[in-house]
Amino acid sequence: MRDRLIPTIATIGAVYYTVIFMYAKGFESLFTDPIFGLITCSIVFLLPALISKSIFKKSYFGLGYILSTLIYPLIYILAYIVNRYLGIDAQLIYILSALIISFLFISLLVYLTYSQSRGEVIKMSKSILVFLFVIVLLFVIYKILGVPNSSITSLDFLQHNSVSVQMSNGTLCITPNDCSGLFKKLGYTTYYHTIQTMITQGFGIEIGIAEVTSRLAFIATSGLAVLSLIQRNVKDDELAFAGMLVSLFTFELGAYSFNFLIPQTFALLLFINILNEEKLTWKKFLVVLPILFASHFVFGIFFSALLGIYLLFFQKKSISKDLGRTVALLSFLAIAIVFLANWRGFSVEKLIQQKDIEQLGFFTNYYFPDNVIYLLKQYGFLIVFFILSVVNTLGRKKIPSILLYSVVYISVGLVCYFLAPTYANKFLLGSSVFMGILITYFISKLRIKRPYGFVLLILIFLTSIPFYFVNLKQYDIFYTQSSGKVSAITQEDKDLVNSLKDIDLDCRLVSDPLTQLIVQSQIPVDTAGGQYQELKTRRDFLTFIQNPNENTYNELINNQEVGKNICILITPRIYTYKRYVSEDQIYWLNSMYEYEIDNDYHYSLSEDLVTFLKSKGYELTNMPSQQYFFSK
Amino acid sequence: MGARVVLFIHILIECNMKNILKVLTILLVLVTIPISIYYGLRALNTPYTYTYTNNSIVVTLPNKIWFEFSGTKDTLDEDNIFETEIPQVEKSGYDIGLQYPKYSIYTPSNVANKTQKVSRKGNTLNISLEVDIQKRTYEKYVQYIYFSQYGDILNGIYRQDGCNVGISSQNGKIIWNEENASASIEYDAKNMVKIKDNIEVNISCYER
Repeated sequence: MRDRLIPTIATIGAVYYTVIFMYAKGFESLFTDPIFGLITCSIVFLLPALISKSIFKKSYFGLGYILSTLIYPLIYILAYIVNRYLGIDAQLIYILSALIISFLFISLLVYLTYSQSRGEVIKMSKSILVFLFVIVLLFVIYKILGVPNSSITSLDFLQHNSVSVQMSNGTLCITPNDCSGLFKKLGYTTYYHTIQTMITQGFGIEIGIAEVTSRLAFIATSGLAVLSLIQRNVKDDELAFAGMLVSLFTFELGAYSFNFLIPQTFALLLFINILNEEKLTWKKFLVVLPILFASHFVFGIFFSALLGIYLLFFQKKSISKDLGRTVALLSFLAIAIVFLANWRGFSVEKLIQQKDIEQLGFFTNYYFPDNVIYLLKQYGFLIVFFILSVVNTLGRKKIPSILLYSVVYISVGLVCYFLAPTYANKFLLGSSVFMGILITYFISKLRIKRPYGFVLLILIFLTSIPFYFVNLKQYDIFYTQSSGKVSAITQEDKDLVNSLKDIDLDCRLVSDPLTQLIVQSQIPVDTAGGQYQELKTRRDFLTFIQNPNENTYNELINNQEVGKNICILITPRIYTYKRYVSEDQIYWLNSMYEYEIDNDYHYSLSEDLVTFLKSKGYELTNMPSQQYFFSK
Repeated sequence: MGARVVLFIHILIECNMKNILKVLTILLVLVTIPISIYYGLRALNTPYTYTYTNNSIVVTLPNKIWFEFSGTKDTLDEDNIFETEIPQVEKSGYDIGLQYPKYSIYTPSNVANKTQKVSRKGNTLNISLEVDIQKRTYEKYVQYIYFSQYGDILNGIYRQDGCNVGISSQNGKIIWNEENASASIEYDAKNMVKIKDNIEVNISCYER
């Protein structure tokens, strides 16, 4: 019974907490509670692992996990069909599904706790503790950095939630572009979005809480998958745990491997699961390939190619002198060649992506020596230990295949990075995992007496924490409000969304880019370009606000992004233009990727604007916090 | 016998290699930990940046407001003395942890030569200034500071959007112009051939 204590406490604790909270603070408060958010997000990410183990009789992480994630698109399909053909609210289906999967999760957890062998239950207990440890550690780091429990530090999450809102509204969304105008390019299907929909629409978690808790739960789940991968080759559990920490706590700007829940990082989780599969074959790979591809087109292809390399050269237990080592060596040497080319000024974005660069107005990559400094700042001294472990690995007679593969994986990522297509830093996705694997194996082979090997690896992990801190803090600057709070959503935005939910928005909303994104991510409404509003549209809008007349109004509504059936939302963000000495300095006006975060600038609404819009048939509705809504 | 010796030597080499690697790894860890901690100390400071560009010392705050110590608007009385001059700029020092880069700027002209040294300690930017006046005697030397956004100025501190910028001068007189989002530092140049000053810019943001 003692062995089953931890999963039992976890199960009872989660249920008890929910019930007591509802009793003490009311049902409505649940959806703004971070602990409840954490419980529900953990259910969403861990349920596939439980299904894989209990129903498919496979390991927690592997192909079983990937196939089990199909429950979420199936729920969406069910909600769509029931809504379309039976007229039942899709949102209701999602809520019922949330209840069912919660019940399923608890049932499977109890089943596995009391039906498995003692050894298996102990492993499960350790996994629960590791999961909680990662969450607590992340939580502490966020607190130190000033990230509140309800916070948006990823505009992508908002963007993807606009799809979730439409999906729970019964709209058919095979790709995000089908039901949200916020996506400029076609990058994936809505496979990922079915998961986010379950969190924000099924469980109804408030969006700021959802972003934080889904991120915590996702990173912790990824940690378990990484731990499982390391444990295949390093039999020491403590070392494997330390190696997992090394892998998780690297802040990779652009790649965001274990930093945010977005389609590419979800694709990484699937990839790690594929590598976790015992006896991976081409047949098994082909079965899950569509899911990988559906999650992210670019990384689906990238990971597929890497898995092809794995199956061709590394799908063996131990490789001595053969092709695998040669491939690893060649790929490592390829870094030097591509680096030299980059040093001389070559890059893919300069050569064949000029149009993209012209549109953006800037290069998306660093160039020598900044690109090297970037790597040093990102990985810190892990690079030193990585190089040491690569040399040691390649010099060994017998090497587990995953280690040579790790060299190949990182080499391919670096080759792509130095080839420098646009946003090349995203090809470093997952590099920290394989660095962690190599370093952990290296330490394990030094045969240092227990527990000093573990202590040594923890110290290596500790050397990467300052870099993680500095990089995360640097990243958070963009989302820092003038009060010091880190979140793209302000209290004024929350009040605004709550007010707009009561209004029938049968129009295209026109406002500043960030407000558009925040509204469209939570309410089924179209906006004039969302956060990627064209620079011309921003200028036309501001010109109209500053000088409302027939000419400026026509210029605005004749803009393709705007149109004639519009409603206009005036926010303090727009009026911050008055703070600038020169309009050329207004960064949200002159750059597609810049936004005014604070929404509390004090201003007086122009009487001329009100008079003009009323003459055009608009009615004014006062919103909270100096926000004004004009509609016909 | 020979084979046994070879095997023994091989084992000895392997053991030694392993020990060498162990020692090397432990040494590396011991060396990298303090460096990493020192690197991480930067997170304690306000993350503003500064650089020398377009003949000006430009400071960018984390809320994206920037201000510049203009290098082309300096005046001796009514004469704009460095408008077309090309400064010689030297960047030095490390940019890690609590250490920040230093700039040394030398701007010559027919009328006066200006030397500025820019460095940072904690959240304070130090600008040392030396102006050697070569020609006739002037009454007043003025340098100008321009902000990208209007702000509230109280007790010599510029405040906007969560950040505070306090400017102090050892030998000059700071005059703020809230309407133009600018400031000037005036120096008495009467009968002087050298003007020296130490300017301190204290920046703090998002005090919670």
